[in-house]
Amino acid sequence: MQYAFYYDQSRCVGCETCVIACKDWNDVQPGPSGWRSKTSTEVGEFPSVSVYSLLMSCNHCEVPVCVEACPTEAIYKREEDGIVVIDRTKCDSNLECLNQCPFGAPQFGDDESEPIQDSAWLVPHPMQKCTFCWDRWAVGLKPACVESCPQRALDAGTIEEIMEKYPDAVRSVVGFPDSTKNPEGVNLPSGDTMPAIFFKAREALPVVK
Amino acid sequence: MKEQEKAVFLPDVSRRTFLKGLGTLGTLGVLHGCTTESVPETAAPEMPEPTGAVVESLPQPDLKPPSIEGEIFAGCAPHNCGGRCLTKAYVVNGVIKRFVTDERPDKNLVDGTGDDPQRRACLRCRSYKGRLYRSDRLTYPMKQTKERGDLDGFVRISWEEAYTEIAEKMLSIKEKYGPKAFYNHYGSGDGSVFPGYAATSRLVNLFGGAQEYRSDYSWPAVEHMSWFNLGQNYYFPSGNSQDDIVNAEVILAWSNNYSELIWGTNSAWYMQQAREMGAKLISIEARQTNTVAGLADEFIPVIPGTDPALLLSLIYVMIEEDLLDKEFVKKHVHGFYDDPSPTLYSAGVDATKYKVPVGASLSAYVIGDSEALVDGTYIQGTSIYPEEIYYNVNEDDELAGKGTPCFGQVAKTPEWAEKITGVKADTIRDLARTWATKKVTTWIGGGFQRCSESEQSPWLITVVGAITGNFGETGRNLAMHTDKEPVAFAGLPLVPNPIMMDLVADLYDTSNLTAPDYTPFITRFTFPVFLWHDVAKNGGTGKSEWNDGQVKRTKVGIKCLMNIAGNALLNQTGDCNKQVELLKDKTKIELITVVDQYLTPSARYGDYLLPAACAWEKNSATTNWVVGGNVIYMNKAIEPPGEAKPDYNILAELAAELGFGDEFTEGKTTEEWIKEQWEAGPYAEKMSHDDWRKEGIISTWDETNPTLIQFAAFRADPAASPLLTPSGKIECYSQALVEDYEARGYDNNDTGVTLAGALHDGSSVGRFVYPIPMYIPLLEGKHADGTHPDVTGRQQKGYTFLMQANHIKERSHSTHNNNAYMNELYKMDKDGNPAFLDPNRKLGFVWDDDVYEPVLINPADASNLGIENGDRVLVYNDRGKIYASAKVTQRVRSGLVMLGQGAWYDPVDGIDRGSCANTLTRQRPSRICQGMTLGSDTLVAIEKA
Repeated sequence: MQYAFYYDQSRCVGCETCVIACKDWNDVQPGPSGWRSKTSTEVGEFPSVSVYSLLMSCNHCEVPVCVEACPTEAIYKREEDGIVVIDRTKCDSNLECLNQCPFGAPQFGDDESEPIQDSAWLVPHPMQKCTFCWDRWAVGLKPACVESCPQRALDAGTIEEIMEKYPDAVRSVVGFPDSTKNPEGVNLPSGDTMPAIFFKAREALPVVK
Repeated sequence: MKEQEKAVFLPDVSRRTFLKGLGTLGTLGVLHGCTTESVPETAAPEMPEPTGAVVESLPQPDLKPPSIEGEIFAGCAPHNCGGRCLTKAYVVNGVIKRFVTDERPDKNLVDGTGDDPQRRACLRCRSYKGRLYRSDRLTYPMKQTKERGDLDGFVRISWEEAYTEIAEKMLSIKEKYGPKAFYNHYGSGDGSVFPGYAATSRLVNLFGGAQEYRSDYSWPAVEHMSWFNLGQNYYFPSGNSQDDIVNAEVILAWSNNYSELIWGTNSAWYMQQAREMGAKLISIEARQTNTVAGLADEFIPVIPGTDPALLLSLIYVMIEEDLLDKEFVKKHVHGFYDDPSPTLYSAGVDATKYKVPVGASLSAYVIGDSEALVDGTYIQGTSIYPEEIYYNVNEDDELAGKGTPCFGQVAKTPEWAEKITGVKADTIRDLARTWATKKVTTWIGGGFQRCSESEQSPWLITVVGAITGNFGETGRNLAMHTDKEPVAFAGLPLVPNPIMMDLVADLYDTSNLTAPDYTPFITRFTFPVFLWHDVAKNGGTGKSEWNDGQVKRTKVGIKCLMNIAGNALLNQTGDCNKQVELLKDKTKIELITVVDQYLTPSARYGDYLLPAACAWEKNSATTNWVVGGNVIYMNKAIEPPGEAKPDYNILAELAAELGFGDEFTEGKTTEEWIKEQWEAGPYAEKMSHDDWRKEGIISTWDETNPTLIQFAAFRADPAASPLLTPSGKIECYSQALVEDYEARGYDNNDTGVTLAGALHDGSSVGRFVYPIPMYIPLLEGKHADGTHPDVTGRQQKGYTFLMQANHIKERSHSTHNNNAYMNELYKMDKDGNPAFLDPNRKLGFVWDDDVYEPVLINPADASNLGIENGDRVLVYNDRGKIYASAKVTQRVRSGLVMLGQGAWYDPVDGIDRGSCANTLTRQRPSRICQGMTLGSDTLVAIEKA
């Protein structure tokens, strides 16, 4: 089974409630680490500008390049739901995951935001990232981000559920990174990571009169 | 030092280890067993207790999800935010670990599941840990022992000392000056129905009464015009219930940034639902807000402050192209057409004294000198109005004797408006045809009133909606939305002001009102809240800085000011640098009592600082405001820090010290007030008090309630169901508006100007306030063609950027400015990196270095100034200077800069590092209502710094 996100870019107003709800639920303090974030792409010049928000966390890829890239085998993908999990006791902060992830999902705290360290950690601030709210799924709740959205732009479920509920969903929108390339633009040796996210695309609006 | 400063902000740590003194205890010290920082003498030093903070062992391989722990409390954290949404806190060991929002079924029109949407909270309430858990909370009472504003002068006192000293001073002031020297200042920080403001109102009224303000800093022009356009029972221009938006063909979102402002719970969601159900949404706005970018199908960019010119040209097109049902207009709208012998619907108003002379109607003003559009029946002559208008100011005012255009003799053609507004003439024609022929629902915001001529836009919006018949039917709305039925839960009962009628005698002269029963009562015993500083400065002297008639009539200045849960003492009032001088002067205001949670810029100027509990630290209740359909029980989930307590308790204890504690409380705690009101109200039969408290929320309507169509009876038969205006119609020639202005003590005659005909009173003498809406350029504004008048000379001085001070989604006014969770979404350091105010910083007005508010600037302007994205800049004019961080974006027009309002004023060496917009604005009130903060009528210069 594979859980997936659905993001309706045409409904999103970029309010970032999901970003905050994620930090709050997962107890990620203000600071460099944010499991979910907004990017905003402006196309055109004032006043004829279209703004494409993209709110995204880890996409729990079907072929997660981070798992492959990690030399310490700290990241693994769960068979039962496809969630990609970091075992923070194995991370030595070598950043290979970050260097390869097309989506910038791996996050790293600092002393201010993560003042308490586990004695089992190898480094002060091992990688952390979105768990797809696996604790919430475990009790029958959808992720915090999904259930926070004031514009009802987010959803999540198994890939089958998402495809059935949103038959017109697409696999990319303006602003979404190329899932076959690392952040440097180099082709990933493992090919497309197959991110578990579906979209409704935003039209080029508003029309300026 | 840095090591200690990075002390922990950890909900796990017992709250008792948080701040106990002015020198905060670094909790890192707690965890590591280190020493604390030195503690200033004024603080009561207290060593941290070992907390045994648990270092949680992380999951091991073959990891399992953590269990979800905590006791759940439902509530809300309402500030001066238009939303009232549900959040629920998970509490572990007395600490809030996390929040969730409404988890009831989500029933929506767009998918046919009903009409009872979840009241989902936005980021403001979801980030509330960032507001509760900071080391710089106020945790014990303090008094100022040196000059006001001097941080070194604050010393800790006991509650008992505070009550005793405040009560003694109140009694002494009352003895010396009487009750009119008391003033309960605008304090909107607690948006519950048991707020400090209401408690203070009870206190001062039981004590003997006080001077009162009217309206607010948010919507003064919208409200003032609503009283006169729609009738005094319309405090707001309320319209159809929000669900009706899905029945519109076209939605006009004018100056409407509901998705960032938050105006009503779920408003932006209803806008989106309507779009998906077939409506087209047109935004008329100055920049690409999140609402424009996210919700608009069409965007009409307009230069701030020029909206009235755009609206007048729309009317011109409707007249020129004969798009209006003229008999319908005449029946429902007073003064759109010349009407020397009007038919009035309101009983007891003499029609011969309430006429619209030839050439004096709004239509005549719109056609200007265009004789071709005079039809002899509806428009009986060309405009009698002049080309110039002057300012009703004191002789020594910089505006004395200065005129500015009001375009009385100009035809308000789309081509005329294009040069002013920047909107293409063809677009104006298209919009006029759309508005006149489609089912149009207009939802306005307040940005377009935030200027020196604030009244004109809200007035004209209502007029255009009225003449196009967009009211009183489904899918058609004039200005604002509301609930299907009003929420019936009042909150803390008010005590009448015992000196109200005495204040009426002081402040208002009804003798020349033609229709006193249809002229609002609220202006009679109050002064405009924005002029409170003028009352404080000049009350009782017969003078007014702004020549305001009511200020001149006050018998005494403000001597005892209660500033409860408010930041309008300084931060949210105009011209902060100037305001500080008033606050420092103890010969003016003799006693300032502040109740707050933080040492805000306003709190800094208190004589007594009393620490208040936040939402979640006390039981309370809240209802939706303009729209939202819910009543929420705000459960206490945690203890307040230190000695902080609920403001109701603070005011009740002060009342007891003053000798009327029992009258104040009527023997009831807040919980008992809430329960009593619930059980006496209409919702108790649907849900018991205890169930409501547990669930936290009741929806006051759903899909089974009918859609409310405002003005339906008036539309169907206005003579039988007149409005509470003198004519009984929607008024666009408002004689009552002018008479009220005069009754407030203004000499409205401007003998230097002569009209081309007479007004209702038979006189052709020019006026400062006319009975019709006009376009009058701002004091500090811009026109598309560069011809904007420069009456204050500030363009000449090189202040060439028009600043708009807008609401941002991360703050509710100035509340949440110190919320680190949201700070990092928008504030930046001088290198343009995300930045936040350290949650572990010490109490004191010591700003974190290097945390700035973004100022949005167009790439072309930035390039010309050598400014790159993220650069620190200096934004300044002759009133003040601020640092900010440049956010270079195509979402703002060249020549404009946008700065979020509400950042906390923090001047160091003459430069406000806190980036408060009001460091740059003025205190001058707007022309008619004498209200308004001038956040969009401000010229500035900007440079890299």
